[in-house]
Amino acid sequence: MTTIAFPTLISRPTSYTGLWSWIGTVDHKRIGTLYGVTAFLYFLIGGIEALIIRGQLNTAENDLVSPEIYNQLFTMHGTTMVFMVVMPMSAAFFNWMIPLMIGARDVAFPRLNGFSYWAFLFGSIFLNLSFVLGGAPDAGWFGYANLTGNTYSPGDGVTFWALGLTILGVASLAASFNFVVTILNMRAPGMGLMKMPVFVWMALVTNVLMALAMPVIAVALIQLGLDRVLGTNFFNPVAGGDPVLWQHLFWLFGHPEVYILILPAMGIVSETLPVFSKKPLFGYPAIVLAGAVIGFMGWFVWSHHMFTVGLGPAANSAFTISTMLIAVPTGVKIFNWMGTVWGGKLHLNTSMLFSLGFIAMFVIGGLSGVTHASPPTDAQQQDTYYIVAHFHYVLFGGSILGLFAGGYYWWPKMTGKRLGETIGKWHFWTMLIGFNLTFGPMHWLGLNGMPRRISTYAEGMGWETSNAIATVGAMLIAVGVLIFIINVIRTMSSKQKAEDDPWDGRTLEWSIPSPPPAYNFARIPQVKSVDDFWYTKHPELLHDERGEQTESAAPVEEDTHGGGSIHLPSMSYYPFVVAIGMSIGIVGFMDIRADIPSTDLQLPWLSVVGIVVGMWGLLGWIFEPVTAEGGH
Amino acid sequence: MAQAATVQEQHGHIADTNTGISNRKLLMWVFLASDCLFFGSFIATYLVYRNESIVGPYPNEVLDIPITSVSTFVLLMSSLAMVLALNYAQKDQLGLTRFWILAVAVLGAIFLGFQVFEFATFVNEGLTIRSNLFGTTFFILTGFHGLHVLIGVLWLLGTAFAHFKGALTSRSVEDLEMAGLYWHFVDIVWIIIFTVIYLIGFSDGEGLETIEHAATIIGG
Amino acid sequence: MTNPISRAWRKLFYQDGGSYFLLPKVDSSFLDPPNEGPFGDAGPPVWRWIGRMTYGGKVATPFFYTVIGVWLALLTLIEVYFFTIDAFFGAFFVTIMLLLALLKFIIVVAFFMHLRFDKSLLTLVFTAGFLIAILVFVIMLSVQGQLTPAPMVAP
Repeated sequence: MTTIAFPTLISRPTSYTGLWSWIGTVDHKRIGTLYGVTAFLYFLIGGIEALIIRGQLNTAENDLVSPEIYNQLFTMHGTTMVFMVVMPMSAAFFNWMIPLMIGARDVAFPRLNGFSYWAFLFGSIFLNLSFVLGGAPDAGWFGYANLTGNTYSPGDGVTFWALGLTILGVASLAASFNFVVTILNMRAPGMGLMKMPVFVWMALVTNVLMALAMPVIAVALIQLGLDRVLGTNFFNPVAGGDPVLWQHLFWLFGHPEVYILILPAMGIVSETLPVFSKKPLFGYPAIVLAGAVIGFMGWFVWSHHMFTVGLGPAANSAFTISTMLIAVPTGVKIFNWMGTVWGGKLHLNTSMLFSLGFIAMFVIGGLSGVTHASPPTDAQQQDTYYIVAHFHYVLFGGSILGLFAGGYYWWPKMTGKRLGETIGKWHFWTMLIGFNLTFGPMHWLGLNGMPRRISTYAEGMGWETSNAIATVGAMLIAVGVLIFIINVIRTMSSKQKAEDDPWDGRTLEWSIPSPPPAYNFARIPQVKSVDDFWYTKHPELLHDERGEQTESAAPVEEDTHGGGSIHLPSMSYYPFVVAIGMSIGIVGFMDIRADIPSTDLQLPWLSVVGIVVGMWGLLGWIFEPVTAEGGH
Repeated sequence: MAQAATVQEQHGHIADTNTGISNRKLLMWVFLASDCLFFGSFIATYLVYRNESIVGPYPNEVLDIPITSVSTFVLLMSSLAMVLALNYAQKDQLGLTRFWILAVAVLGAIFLGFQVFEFATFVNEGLTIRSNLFGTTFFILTGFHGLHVLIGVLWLLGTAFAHFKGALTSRSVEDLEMAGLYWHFVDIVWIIIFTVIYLIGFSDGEGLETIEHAATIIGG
Repeated sequence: MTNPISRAWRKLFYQDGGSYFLLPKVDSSFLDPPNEGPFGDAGPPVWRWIGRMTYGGKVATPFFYTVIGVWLALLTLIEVYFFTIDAFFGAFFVTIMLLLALLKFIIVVAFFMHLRFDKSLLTLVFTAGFLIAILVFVIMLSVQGQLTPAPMVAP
């Protein structure tokens, strides 16, 4: 492979079981599982933070936690749920399902994939260590300047936040490049872009958004970090710095980020609804186009987060119009889903319930979103619980319910066992009722003037009852999550075995065994139309549903390449090493503090260590052949 | 139907791609598109703070257009050298390939030398990352660009030493092409920076006097 | 299915595996740039003229690239010269300088980075990133009121 011999720094992992095989894994399915398990653990942590917040707000003038702790809790709750739950959980589904749905044996860059996961893991661990290492970040998940400056946030918390999120940003960037290339380059023969499953389409839009939006937040975080450790003036009003610049950069990233969070869930329900309605997706090109348009227009609405900043009537009007316009493609999708369900033979199992719940909750969240697209109403709602209600309806009612729908739908494919249906329905209903009890009353609280991010409120404001209901609802959500955990434990300890195609699915992942073998497809499928697997099973429907001539599917040719042997990328430890090195390198900047003169311009020795480790791993990575000796 | 034929010939060759573009090249371009937003953010930050510094030194007191024009020219010519290196590599002319790669690395190093000289001069004149908004935004923007140049130089030298001892392979030519794309991107970022920050940022609408003003700064 | 409305309807709402949105058919062994305009052979004669003028030859030669490099150097010289007579251009100075920079940018991207000769998908990918960057940051700067070409003068 390479023209010079390079000393092997670490030998390759050889065993396919045990801890080291997980650390060295490059299998997209295993990495997907790692993402999923990690994201679920953070879901529990973020949920516990939310429960403490709800406990604090249960009654007026409560003192369950101090205001300082409360600030840390809501900051870490938001940061955790956005960056460590919804995004990596989506990444888990991307990892698992993109190669299976497009008929590939792995992602385009298996080692880069491993690197993404490990960087995500180390960044998130680092961020959460701040709880025990001198205080978590406490400036909100959006970290508005200049509250985050050394003057107003003297502790280390915000530095943890800036550096930790930078590591997570690098992880997301690497993952997004990988998925974009995988989707564009690795499709099975015959699968044109307009024959891809909608989930893959939404994954493509999401990852393009991620590739383009993450650099913006990375720059903002770098500037914030430099302000804190080197004493630069980016957000320092004393030197003329403008805190509004942070808001621009943050929301320039932040609004595409909103679509990064919701589009994967939209893709998931676009898969589950046709399967459980026994109908093809209504208006496939329209739904794809709507997703792409959302991905483009999502760039030009960011200032609606800043209507109360005072950008002037021209800017506010322009962003009002663009914000209201972006509701149109979203509405197109919702009508398409309704058109898909309409007249179908509905199978109301847990996954379908979650999908329908997703549509209903997302519509409520979308409509409340349109209300604050208008600056005058937004001026009333800004920083009240109305906003909290709105974005929980789209992020919990939307993303989380959608992800649960995907979890129930793909669980048999991923593990070879079906999650329990009865207990699953209990899970759904407790969660849906608990969710509406928690966030429904927040609409009224917000319109009544209850501000966000305030650790307590005075008696007699008329907010006690609604808050108490919300706390009960939050506990009900917790019960729902517990039911889900019980469901998972019971399912995984049972002896049952799911069929390869338990739902009579439409897409390629159901054409292979459950769980899939390491090489996914024994032979690479030939694709002729959208939902190709469905029409292979039901060729007589091709004419009725697609208007195409009835024609038997193309005979599958034997994959004779390599004498029938399938070569997969070999395991490697280097992604792990590089991720550790990069994380340590970035964390090393914690050593310097601009506001402590004695450590002024001190060498961040930890960074040097990190860079050395990272370079070492990188060299090993570059000079290690993708496939071990004997492969080709 | 006919469209099945488009990818029919890929049958059995997993390495072949739907788009006809190799995975690495597509990754490189997606990365460059992403990097546009990275440098775009830094340049936009610089422009937002263009007239906002409260204390000096101000850009037209320190920026040195003649010297920077020379370093811009050096970087531009390194881009030419890069494309020549790739051209010779594709024609399998190992000696010329090596020569031009080294030329790129040397020109890149000269550009970095100019930048170090510029930074040192500015610091001597009292401009640091802490002194005002201009210092903060200028040093961080051009510093990150310089970091990209440094990575590019190391990458090219690494490519040259790792791959060009024996004969050229299609793999090593592709390696060189990736490094080349990265290098040209660094160059186009500098094209923007030079025009927007140096030429436009320095311009005071008073014609030739600016050059004389710059000359007095070099002299003094 | 002959009337245009029903054809448009089919195109939008039925997926018949037609050619739209399919990537152009490519042959991976195809290395030489086609001698055609930037928009294919279609369009007014000026496209074909641009096509001939920017065609790098069967395999672009070092001479071709050197000419491009000379052009880039000349453009830089022109930029620096225009800078010295900026008063002459008045309010158009910034526009002219930006156009010159854009021209250099496009030349490097098209020829040195081979987008002129390469698969159009790469142009699409890079243009998407570049255009979104330009659009959002221009909007941001105008919202921040920084697009007025006020000269930077020390007080």
